[in-house]
Amino acid sequence: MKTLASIFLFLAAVLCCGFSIYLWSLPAEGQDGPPLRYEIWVELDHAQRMLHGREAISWTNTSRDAVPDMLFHLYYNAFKNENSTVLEESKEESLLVRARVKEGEWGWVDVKKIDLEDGRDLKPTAEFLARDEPLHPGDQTVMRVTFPEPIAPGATVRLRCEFESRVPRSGMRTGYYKDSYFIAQWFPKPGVYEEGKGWNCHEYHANAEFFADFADFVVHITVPENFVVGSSGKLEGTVPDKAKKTATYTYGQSRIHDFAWTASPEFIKVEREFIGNQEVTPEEYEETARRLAIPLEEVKLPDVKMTLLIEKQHRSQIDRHFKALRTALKSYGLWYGPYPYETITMIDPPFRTGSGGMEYPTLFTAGTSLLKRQKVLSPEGVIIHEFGHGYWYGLVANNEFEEAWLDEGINTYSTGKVLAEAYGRGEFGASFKGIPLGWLLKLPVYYDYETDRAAAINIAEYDPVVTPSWEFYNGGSYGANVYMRAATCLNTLEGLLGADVMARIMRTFHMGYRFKHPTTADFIAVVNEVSGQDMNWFFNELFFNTLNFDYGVASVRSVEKPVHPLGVFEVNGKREVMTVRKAAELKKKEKSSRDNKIYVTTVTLRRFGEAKVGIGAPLKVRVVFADGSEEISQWDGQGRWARLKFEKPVKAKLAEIDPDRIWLIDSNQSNNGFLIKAKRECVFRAAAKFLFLIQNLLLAAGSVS
Amino acid sequence: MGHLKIISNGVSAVRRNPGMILWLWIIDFVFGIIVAAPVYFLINKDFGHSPAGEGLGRLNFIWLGDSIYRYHNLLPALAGWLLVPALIFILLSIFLNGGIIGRLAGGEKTTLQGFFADCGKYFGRFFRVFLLSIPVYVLVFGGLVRLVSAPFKLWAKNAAGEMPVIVASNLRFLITILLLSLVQMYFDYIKIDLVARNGRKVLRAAAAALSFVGRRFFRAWGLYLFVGLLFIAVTAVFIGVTNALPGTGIVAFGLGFILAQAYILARISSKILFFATELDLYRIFQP
Repeated sequence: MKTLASIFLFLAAVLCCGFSIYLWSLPAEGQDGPPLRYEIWVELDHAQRMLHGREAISWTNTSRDAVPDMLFHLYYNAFKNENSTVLEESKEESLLVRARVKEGEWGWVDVKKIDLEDGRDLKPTAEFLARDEPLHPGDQTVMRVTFPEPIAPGATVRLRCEFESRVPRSGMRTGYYKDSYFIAQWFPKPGVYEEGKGWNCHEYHANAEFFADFADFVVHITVPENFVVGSSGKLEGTVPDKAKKTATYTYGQSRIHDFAWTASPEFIKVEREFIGNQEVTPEEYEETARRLAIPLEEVKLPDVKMTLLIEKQHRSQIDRHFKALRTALKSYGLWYGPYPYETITMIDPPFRTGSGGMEYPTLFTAGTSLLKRQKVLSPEGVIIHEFGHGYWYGLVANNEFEEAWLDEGINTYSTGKVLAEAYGRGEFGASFKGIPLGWLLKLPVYYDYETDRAAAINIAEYDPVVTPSWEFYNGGSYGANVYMRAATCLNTLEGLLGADVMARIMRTFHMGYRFKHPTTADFIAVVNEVSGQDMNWFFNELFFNTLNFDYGVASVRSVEKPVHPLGVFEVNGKREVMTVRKAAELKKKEKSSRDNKIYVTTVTLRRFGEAKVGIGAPLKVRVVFADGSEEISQWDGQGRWARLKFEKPVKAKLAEIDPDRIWLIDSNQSNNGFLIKAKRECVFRAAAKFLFLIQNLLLAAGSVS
Repeated sequence: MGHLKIISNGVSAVRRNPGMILWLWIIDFVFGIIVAAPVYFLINKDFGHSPAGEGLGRLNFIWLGDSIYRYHNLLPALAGWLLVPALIFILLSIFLNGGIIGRLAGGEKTTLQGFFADCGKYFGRFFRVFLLSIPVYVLVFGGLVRLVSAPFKLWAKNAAGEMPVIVASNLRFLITILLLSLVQMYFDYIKIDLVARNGRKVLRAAAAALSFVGRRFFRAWGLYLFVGLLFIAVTAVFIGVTNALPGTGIVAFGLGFILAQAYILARISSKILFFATELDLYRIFQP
């Protein structure tokens, strides 16, 4: 038995080494593959909370520039001291302080050694840079090394690096608690070289995520033997070391731009398969192909191995997690393009590691709680959203520092659509002391787009959606703008262009920019191209400005049109005066005029907000009359107000602007319609509820007397 | 005499005083109307003519978003508007408590005149009791609750999973509620002592109440908690019935309104029941 085990170990070790050799023998970077390659060996020192790592990096200069240096992200230094950009920004933040590092819980990364393949030492040239305004000169999350000679276009540079990282107790998105670790942004990682501009390598900011180049990864992770490990990429082999009581796991993945992993003895590991042709019916494939106007073969979904690492305390929610992941794999795959990797790993974040709800290539963290009602779509929403980032951020890899809306906004929009289609409305997840209130009270149910809109309309005037992440007014503005406002604007855009056109836009954008780094301009270009319309005005008003959008109906009046107008008239060459009395007498005599009354309905429309619709995108106006008939009209919406007149034999009952609710971003939908006869019952109902609340508050206040 | 007998006597006392309940309800209702009126006019202005008004019956995020956008600058003013009436209502309750306990102690049929005479008679004394209660509340909830909660906090802080955190949090909440009940019960007995002995000296009454409660602590507290549980049961029934009501229609609105006011009446009745049972217990041991 022992011999068999030894043979097995030997074979596993050979397999791991073989995989590394295979990866490093792939064609030269920048020709067929991504410009970067990593092989990393990392060992977790559980007692000291340290990571001891070695890293081999090869980078190919795909630009036409001679590149004299290389900039690295050293994200763990964000938790090194209070001079880091993250902690300084967090202190300045009045709305939201997210990083609270206590004594003895600091984290850092030390680059012990960095040299070229030929042994020339780059460490003496290493320096920290902090270039983002306002400056935080004490920050050490970006390091520059200078090469002895510039890297010529097309040339490849190979570096070797040794580093030691202290895992922060529970930092932003990474950390440990007791025996559990979530390890992200942990290794020295080059920025993205942009031709003519140099390295795009921002500091770790409080309100920003990440940006990196596509790369091939091989990572060997050594942890205590009782730890369950989950990681980006595909597990290629495991080598236990009985003497040291550790195990080394080797993971590999090509064409991803980050690598995260987790280790904990508290995990239960569950694996299931997503079989494309079992999850999607032939009719669904055909419908998708028709809708997207692409060949049937292009919408077929591949099989994917799904792995869930879930905390033992949440084991009852295993099926719930997989159902949401299947839904996401199917919807994102059909709508935007097939999932291109063989694996996806879903992590129920280790308790108190501050790592929930975060995305990494081929791995994401979800987030749930012990007493979660089925009607509350909370783990589902997080799972779908974070998996969705595999598409928006993972595959279409925009710069999250500079244009975060491109992944967060698009993905929030996508999440809302997937949730709505698969689950319908979710219950508001209110709880008291960890106990869900839905068991006791009738809580509201909602679609994501409704809550997104509620946040979006209240943030419009703070910052444009397209703003560098660290330049937002505060964390609230960053979040509400790049997630909710962007998503609400995209829902509005879908309303304007139609669901099918929007679906084609998203598919075209996704497949066109897969494994690339698109910008907002690229997205707008795709919108214009696929829709066949110039939609620049839409983005100018709602993405690049802080303009509030609010059109409404100010008033509606229906008055009887006088049959005999008052005043002086020329009749057959004679001047006749029509008085009130005379008009009344004439009206009495003319029976027909009593039966055929004409009413003039005047609808006054107003543009309350600063944002305007485009010249070619007028607003629809619907007027409903007492007999049920309707008049549809349009307003170009360019002025501050407009008046529409209708002459009908009946009075108007209701006037509505944007009756189809296309303009979801409208910040006051309550004024979009005007009923001539007020509906008091609704007002009384709301007021009665408020009265009841006040009565109870008064009695509660009185009880302390 | 057992708790059930005392509660039975208390319920009889409540039933003997429908007029008192009605007056207290009218005061609460009118006061509530005064406070809620500006909000009614605001809702009427913005939603009266809007088709979106139809959604006001239930919370939805479309009109809620609109309202936050429109009124977020008004929130501090609204908070202020609610705070001032709340403070006035505390004073009013101090005034009314005199009438409630005075009439219950008298045992005669409650008349409006007699009720308000007692309100006026005891207001000064009860106001001093209220002043005395302020530092006690501060001491208990500023210090004692934290002290008693500390082990639970520590337990939650070192927890390896969610369950200890939830349990600790709920235990802390329970402790807070139990301490609140203790403080409220104690100050009730001070008022009862002042009325029963027709005393004027609050500190002497406080000492007497302390002695009274101290000597039969569990009996007094058990009784108080028993009545409290009855009130919680009534609240649970109210929530259950409200959840079962249909959401729309004038009948549903009418039923909902009547039910809500019935609950307010039940709240007021429970307050009288607290005093009546405490008075009964007091009389058993301090005849």
